[in-house]
Amino acid sequence: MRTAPVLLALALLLTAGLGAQENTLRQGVQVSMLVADPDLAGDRIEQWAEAQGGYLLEKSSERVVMRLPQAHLPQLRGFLEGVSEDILDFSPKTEDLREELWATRSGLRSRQEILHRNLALLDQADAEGTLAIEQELLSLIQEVEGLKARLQALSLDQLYARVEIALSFQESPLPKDIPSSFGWINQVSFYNFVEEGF
Amino acid sequence: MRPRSALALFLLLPALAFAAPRLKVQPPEGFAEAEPGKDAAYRALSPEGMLYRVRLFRNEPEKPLGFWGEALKNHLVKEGYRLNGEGRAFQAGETAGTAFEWVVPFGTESYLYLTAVLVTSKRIIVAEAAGPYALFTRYRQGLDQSLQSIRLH
Repeated sequence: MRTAPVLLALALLLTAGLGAQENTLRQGVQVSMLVADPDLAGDRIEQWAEAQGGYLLEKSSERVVMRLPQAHLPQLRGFLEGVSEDILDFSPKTEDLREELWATRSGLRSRQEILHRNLALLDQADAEGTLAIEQELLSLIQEVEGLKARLQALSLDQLYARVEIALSFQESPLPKDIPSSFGWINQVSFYNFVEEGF
Repeated sequence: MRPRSALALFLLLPALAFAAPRLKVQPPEGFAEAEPGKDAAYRALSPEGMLYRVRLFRNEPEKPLGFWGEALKNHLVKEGYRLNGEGRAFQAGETAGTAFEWVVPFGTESYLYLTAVLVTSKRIIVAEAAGPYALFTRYRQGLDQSLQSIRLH
């Protein structure tokens, strides 16, 4: 019986550890939908995204690109169904970032270590050596800044999903003529109808 | 009756009996009817230039609405048209019909293209309308009412 509290504590610790586990998924959704008024739909999407803690990257009559907290992604489809008449395409995409995070973090760590070592060498170097070390330092600082920026972008991806919404149906034109065995059906064609007019 | 008139009537009767049936259609609300062209199709036009056309074809081989509705739908799907929602059944007097809306890219816009088929024993009636998405949705109800008004005389 004495082991019971210990096991319970262990279980709680493990659960807490799992809960604190870092999200390493990059999520995104590509949507294509039909709306009667693209500008109005764009405004409604913007308001909703901001209410969920997200923000807009791009907004036009043709498309909306936004960042949405990953936690609110499950509500996206329901909201868009209310804004549009028809959702033509809703394609979620998930990508594991663990490898990229690991490579970026370890790259950053190693360059920072080299940077500190080179800084320590700077005091002992002569004029010629100082110039060489300075050049090396400049290059290292650039690399470190680049890796930090990459890490920030990845952190953003861990928190926010990228949502791209096309407000119209933009695909390549349809093939014009696939013959049917029934004569009258061959005469039913959107392009002929629109182009012939009256 | 003079003999000549009687003869003329006698000769005319078979022609009248086999004369092509004529379409009678109420234009969608807000549309203006156009003069029939050489093909005798019914045409109407909205102030924005949205087109509406109703045509007649022979029901050959003679098949019911279910067959022709599916045949047209399958053909357009094969050509790459994308259905907008489910098709809808409607009634025009005693004639049953089925209508589908298709989403079609045209220029830089999304167009809706309506195809409706009604079938009698001798004729297939095909109605079409197309316009930019936002415009089409404004006239959708009027188009539905017009489809229900189609009659053959």
